[in-house]
Amino acid sequence: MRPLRFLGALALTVIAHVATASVSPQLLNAVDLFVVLTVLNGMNGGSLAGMLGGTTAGLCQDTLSGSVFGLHGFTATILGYAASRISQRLVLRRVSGALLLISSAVLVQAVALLALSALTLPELILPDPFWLLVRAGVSGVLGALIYFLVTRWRQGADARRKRRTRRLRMG
Amino acid sequence: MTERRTRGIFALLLVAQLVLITAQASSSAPEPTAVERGLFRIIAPVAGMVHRISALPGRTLQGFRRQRSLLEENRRLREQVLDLRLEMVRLQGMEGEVKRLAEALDYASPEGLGADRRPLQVADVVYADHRPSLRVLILRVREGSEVHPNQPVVAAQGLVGRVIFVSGSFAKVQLITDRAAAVAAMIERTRRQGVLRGSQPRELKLELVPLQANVRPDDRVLTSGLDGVYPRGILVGTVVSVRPSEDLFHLISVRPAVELSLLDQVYLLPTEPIPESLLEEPFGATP
Repeated sequence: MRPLRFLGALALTVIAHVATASVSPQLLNAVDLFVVLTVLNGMNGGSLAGMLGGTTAGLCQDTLSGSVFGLHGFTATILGYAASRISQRLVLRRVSGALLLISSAVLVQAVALLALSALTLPELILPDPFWLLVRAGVSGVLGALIYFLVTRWRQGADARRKRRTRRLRMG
Repeated sequence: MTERRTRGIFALLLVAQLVLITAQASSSAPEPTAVERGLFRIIAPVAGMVHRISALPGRTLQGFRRQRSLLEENRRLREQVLDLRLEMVRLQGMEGEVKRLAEALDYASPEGLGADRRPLQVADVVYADHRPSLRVLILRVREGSEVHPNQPVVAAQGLVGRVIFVSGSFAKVQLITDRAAAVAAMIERTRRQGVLRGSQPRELKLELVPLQANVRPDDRVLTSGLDGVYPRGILVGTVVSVRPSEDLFHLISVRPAVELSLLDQVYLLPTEPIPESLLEEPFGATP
């Protein structure tokens, strides 16, 4: 069930990414939807789910990009694994934790991509620091919002299930 | 699953991807992997569908706005068609004269744009990525089109890029501004040759032009046809600045002729791919 849920989320991410590019390709500078998905998936599951989700999301991002295939897959695998480990160790349950984790993940990915690009491309072009910070901020806020909504929905679903069970017992 | 096994799988995944990355980086013409082809086959139709849906409201609104100006546009286009027809007749006359002169001089005309009479194939741009490090297009080609890797892609204003690979009715295109892209080029005025490489999103660098070469701003840069990918004579861009460097070559910045962020439709040039046997045979090899 969890893999299916992740694949559904990945499909939505791809659609949102392409739709954003249709509106304005430059908008993709402001948000990284695949990192948001990778980190949220890592926070929600175990280390294995985190890293496999990261690999899948990263390879999908590579398919839509012109860079060497595997660059985003490599970095997203690390991000997914790290997100799951950090959220297990620190028991991250708050929205602010999700915001911080996602924003940091965007920055870490930029550094990792830069390092890998130095090995694979003839010329190194540094990312624009302003847009990097904007991307980290916007992705963090978006991921925190999604985390908040999903957590609320889950709490509501749990409460409804408990009410139903109580009624069945009393009835 | 134990923590140790999870760490093992993590290390294995990283090593596998690192091997994939370094294999592509070390190859001069990396082929797309089976994984990339498979994912592209799934994702490209999604991109096409999203593009169609997202373009619908814009087109509807545009239709309402343009209703008023349609008559004026129709009149203007009729005048343009008449002018172009007259121009075509004039150019056909010139072409005939060039052919006659070529025959008289016993000169074989070079392969270039227009030498092939097959019609250009139109393709719609369904996805464009212009982030600083990633410059790629995904095209939806019309049914019945023959598209192959390394096929040049052009717009009305000039060169756009080349097809990297094809899956079904979708094709992935590397733009000329991509950092890994290279185009054999020449200055139109002096015929001095060089290599154009992608640099910034709206800038190309013309390399290997020696310091004694005569280059100045506003010089037009065309494809030279020497890379075996792009036919000769396609406009690529215009020289923006020329500076001397510390080594033997100029530092030349070129602005692309095509506004790559505004592309909606492009054309695929009908060229024959170079046979594999010619590409593999090293120069001077004995039979």
